[in-house]
Amino acid sequence: MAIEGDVEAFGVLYNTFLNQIFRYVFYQVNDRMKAEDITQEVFIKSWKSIQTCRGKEDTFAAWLYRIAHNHIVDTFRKNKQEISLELIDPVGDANTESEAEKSLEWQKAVAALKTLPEPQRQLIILKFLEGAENDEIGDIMGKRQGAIRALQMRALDNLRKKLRSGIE
Amino acid sequence: MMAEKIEIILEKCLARLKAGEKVEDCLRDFPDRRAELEPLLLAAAGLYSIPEISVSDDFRRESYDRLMVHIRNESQPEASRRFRLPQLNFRVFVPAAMVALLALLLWLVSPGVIPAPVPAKINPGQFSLSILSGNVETLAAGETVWQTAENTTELNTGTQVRTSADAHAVITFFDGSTATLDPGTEVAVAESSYVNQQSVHIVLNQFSGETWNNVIGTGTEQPYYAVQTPLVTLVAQGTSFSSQVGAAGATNLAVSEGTVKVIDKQNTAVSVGKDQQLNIVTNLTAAASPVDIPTPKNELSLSLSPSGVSSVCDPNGASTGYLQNGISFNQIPNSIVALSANGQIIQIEQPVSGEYTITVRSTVQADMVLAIQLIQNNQSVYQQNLALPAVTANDWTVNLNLTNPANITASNDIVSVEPLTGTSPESVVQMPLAIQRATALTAATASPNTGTVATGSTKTTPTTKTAPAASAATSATSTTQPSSSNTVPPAAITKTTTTTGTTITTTKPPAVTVPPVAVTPTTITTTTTTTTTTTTTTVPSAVTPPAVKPTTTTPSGPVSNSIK
Repeated sequence: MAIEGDVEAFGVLYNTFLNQIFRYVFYQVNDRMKAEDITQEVFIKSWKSIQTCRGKEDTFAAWLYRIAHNHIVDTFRKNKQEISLELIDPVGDANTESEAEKSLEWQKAVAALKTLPEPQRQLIILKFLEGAENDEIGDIMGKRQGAIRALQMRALDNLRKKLRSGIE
Repeated sequence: MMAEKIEIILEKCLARLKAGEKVEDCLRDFPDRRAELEPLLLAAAGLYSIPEISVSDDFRRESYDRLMVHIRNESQPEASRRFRLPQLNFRVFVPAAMVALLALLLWLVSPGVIPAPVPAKINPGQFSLSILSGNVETLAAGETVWQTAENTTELNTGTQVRTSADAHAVITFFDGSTATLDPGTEVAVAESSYVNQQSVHIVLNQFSGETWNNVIGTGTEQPYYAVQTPLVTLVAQGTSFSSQVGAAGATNLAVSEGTVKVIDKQNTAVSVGKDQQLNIVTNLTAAASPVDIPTPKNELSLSLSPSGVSSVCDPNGASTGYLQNGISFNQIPNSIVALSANGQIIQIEQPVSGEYTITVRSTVQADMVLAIQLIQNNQSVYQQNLALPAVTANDWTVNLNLTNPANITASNDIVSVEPLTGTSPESVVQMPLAIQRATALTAATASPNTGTVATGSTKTTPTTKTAPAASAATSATSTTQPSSSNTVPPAAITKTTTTTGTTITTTKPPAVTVPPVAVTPTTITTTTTTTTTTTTTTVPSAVTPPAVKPTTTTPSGPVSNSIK
């Protein structure tokens, strides 16, 4: 029953990375239910392809993010779906005026994020929403550190412009 | 050069923002780059302020269940394959989780990998097979010839078990969860493991027949317990349920406690709740919604006062109840056992014909009262209250004969009441993990005997099957039990049989001194619509050997009680 240990181990991996992958997907698709579906598919896909993963990435997380990213791209391609610009509130209803203002800012930031070119969006999500370090991001995106720093600057600049112009 | 420099400065400032510094703090250190940095840092600060989102607990559980089912379905044809994880170099991504994960992965990639150490006494990979009746066979993994099984055999995960047409058996897993196998059932224990010595993981493949599954959880830890049939996987969520597999894998699920999630090969999932059933012939898309299980026509209910615990062993040898060390077991299909400060209740739906052995064990030195009640069509039709005096014995056995459960008013009665001696009647395998998790039922957890018995209305497990008349009968007769005087051990059997408006009460002296009453309830078919008739017969105490055999008397009056 060698598979038994594998199943258990994968269950641990799932519990460890579930939230990270969910967030990564959520900020790209802007829809909780869709994000949940894709997240589950990502783990199923990762189970299927785990045998072929032979250390191309430095970390398991990097490998998982790459699967998630490819899956999101595939999903959009298949559905020919435009990225939603609908404003969302990741934490639900705000209770105070200050919270409401903050919530609106978050929503704008997330909405602006959606309009960024795909590599910039990916970097922003990984760096600022997932808390990954540059070397991990480079690993996930297959880019060198210098390229990551340059991309980061362009992404922030682009985001700033989008926010200032009210997301065009 | 200039561009590269601003990128590096930006990187430094971002690191400071992430550490909690303000945008202005960074800008102050790079005054000549303020114009370039400020808009970028403000944009970054806005991103850092976005609150962290996470999946809901429901999604986490549901998704996990589906994933596990999917993996197992995928893995079954290639059960021997083993995945290879990538080389890992975790750094700061979720550090705490990474440490735990690294340990696990190091284990996985190590040559000659061995299972994680577990306490010597707990053997997650083994299960116990108790043969209750008939012929039971096993087929170990890798073997081709079925072997006749022996009782309480310790078997390894991967072993198949099948019961003959007249056999009943119980599989006890390492955590104390059980699967009762009806005749003509074939199963395989596909997985039984203790992940990180915290999470119980059990998967039973059911190929045919009927199983009754009782899943043992703790307050904080619910095991992953799944029954895989040819069509669906049934994932327990704090549950007792039966699973019947028929032709072409058609599966019928009936849930008695908790919830069971049904997941089919297409990953469609449906939750089936308490007292619901679901029939799946092909897949869930084609299946109807879960429906309520009809209220059982007949029910045997046992209530015990708080100073003890009880169990009942059915004519097939399956048992349901508690032991004094707090271990609970539920092997009888469609039975419920509940314990509260008010006492203990066992209910068995649709009892089968034959002799039931009730075992009562005291948890504190106090008299106990056992109420035996038969309910038919939501009406209490028969009740006996047994007062079991502590001065005579701590533990007792009561034999109850149900010769015709379909007409339980007709021919049922107590055959004997005796102090418990010798071997326990229950086939309960006490697994080390179950013992560890159980809380001994002592004076600390059991209330002193209040002289009354728990009734259906006091049980912790909600039920709608206890007729109001039953409660009334119980409270009416509980006052007739003898008090604990200093002179005579006052055990007594108080029997109440209630029909519409008719109550018969018979009070007997100690069971160990005088044969207990045996009332023929067929005589209690008299119906009275407006008045209540009560007949009380008190038999004087006598000092005789404790062995109890029925004798017969025939009372006079409107209702006759026959004592065999």
